[in-house]
Amino acid sequence: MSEELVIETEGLSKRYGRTWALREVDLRVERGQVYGLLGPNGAGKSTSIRVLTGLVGPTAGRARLFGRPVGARRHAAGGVVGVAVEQPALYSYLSGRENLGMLAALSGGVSERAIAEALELVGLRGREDDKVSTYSHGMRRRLYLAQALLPEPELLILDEPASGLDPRGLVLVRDLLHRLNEQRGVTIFLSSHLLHEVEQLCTHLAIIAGGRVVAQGPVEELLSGAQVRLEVYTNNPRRALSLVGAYHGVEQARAGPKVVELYCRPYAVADINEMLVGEGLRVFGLIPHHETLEDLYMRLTEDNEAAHDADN
Amino acid sequence: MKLRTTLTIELSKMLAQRGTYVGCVVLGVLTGLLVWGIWRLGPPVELQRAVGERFVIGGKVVTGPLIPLLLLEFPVTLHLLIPLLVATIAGGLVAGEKRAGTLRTLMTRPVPRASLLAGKLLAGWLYAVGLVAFLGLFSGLVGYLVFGRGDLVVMSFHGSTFGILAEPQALIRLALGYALAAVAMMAIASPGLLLSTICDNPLTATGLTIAILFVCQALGLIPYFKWLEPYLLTEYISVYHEAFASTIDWAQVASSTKYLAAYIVVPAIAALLIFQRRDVLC
Repeated sequence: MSEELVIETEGLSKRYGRTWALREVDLRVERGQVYGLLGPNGAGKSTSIRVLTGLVGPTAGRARLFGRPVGARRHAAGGVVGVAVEQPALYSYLSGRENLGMLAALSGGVSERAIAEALELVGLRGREDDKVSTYSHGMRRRLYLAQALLPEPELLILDEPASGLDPRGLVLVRDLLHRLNEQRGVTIFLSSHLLHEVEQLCTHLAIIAGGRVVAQGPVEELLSGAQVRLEVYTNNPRRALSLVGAYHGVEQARAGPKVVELYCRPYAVADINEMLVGEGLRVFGLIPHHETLEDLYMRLTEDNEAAHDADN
Repeated sequence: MKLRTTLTIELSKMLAQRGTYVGCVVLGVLTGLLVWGIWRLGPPVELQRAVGERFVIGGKVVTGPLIPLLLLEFPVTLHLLIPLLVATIAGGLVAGEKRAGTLRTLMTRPVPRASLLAGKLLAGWLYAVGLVAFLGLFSGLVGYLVFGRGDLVVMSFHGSTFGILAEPQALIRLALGYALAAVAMMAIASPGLLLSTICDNPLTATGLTIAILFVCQALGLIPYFKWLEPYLLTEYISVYHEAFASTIDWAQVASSTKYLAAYIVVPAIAALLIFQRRDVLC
């Protein structure tokens, strides 16, 4: 139902000079989802987040948060959205507590208790009165996340939240986001280029490449509908390549000295075997590799990055 | 409400930075040097010459109120030093935050951009006023402590004005002179902030603000551009002179203040329009 949509974009496009950073991006994020925006560097993840948070205006298309348009280069949803965009940018000459107090004041103010709770959540209790200039990168990253938690948001928009964190910090942030989503029902929209992070955190994802969304949906659905990478061991890989190349639904087929590699739907494996045997080839083995998120990501981003480079 | 919040935040940030106090230290040192020089060597040569050639004055020439006046008259104070300090702070208000990345943190909070910029603008103006007020109060305090009370011998270093103001009247005139100087410095803060919204580097914004002042000064000296004189900011920086005339020409004060107000308001509106529309890419 449309009232459940927390983020909605239609034909969202953004051009910097002659370069299109986003092209007709349609996103639909529903309340309660943990939605990952996955893509390589320069794919348009940060631009998407900048448009959603009102930092930049779109060249074309529309974006809505909680059904209200993001316009005039400011986000319309007020204090219910917590945002952490890119690298942690905080006032190094102020303490952690002063930073949080000051930024929360811009959202209408919060109690000292709420600030203390946010510091506790990100594991910075005990260092809150130290100047940020004395913090490590990981601590700044966590403090930056803490400011997004004030006041209690219904939606968190996070740009590369795990970037620069050590393993302990990574676990802390991942657990925190899980808890916020499960216990408080906070919708989380995050961008990342870390596949493992997205796979562990997200219920839904969109893969963006070359400024376009090339796939989106529930993570499980995306993977179940994905193709398999099939290795075909045969006595004549060259001939096998020409035969499978003509088969409907086969993609990215290539032949090695002993093996043909291709992508196809899972149901096509048996048909391919039958066809090759029917053409008189000896098939020694058919090994289907079910596509992981990494395979899916690599396959979808490779082609689109090339197309994007050609367009610009 | 939002404006009060953004102003409070801007002032807190300003007060938390050491750089903010550099101006006070510099002006304090300048005051100290001047007072030390007069205490050790006597009044400035120009003052001695101007007074000595025309009158024989009984009593003290150098009194407490003279120190703030001398500092206002100092060629570098209002034409270089304070403008440089004001331009540095104003130039960093937006561009400094762009460079540090903190502007995007601020702008992702649910606060209208206009309020955010208005807070910065008010903070920049308050800094300009505060710096001038500090100079006036500190130099007055030091002047009174070292030289004691007394009337004020008013003279222009150009020798066109000479007079003696009784102490109560002198204090009123000094307050007026410093108030006019503060307005002139606000007129430097506004273009500084405008350039700060345009530039990504605070040093560029500061440099351009100072460059504008120098260009104005240069244009005022070139006969071909005499017609531009009424519109040049530098023509009105010395408006405080009016406060020490034997009779204050209020029409002249109002006219000068009107031009200064234009220099305060027009860049502020331009900055607001640009800030509202600009993509934040830092």
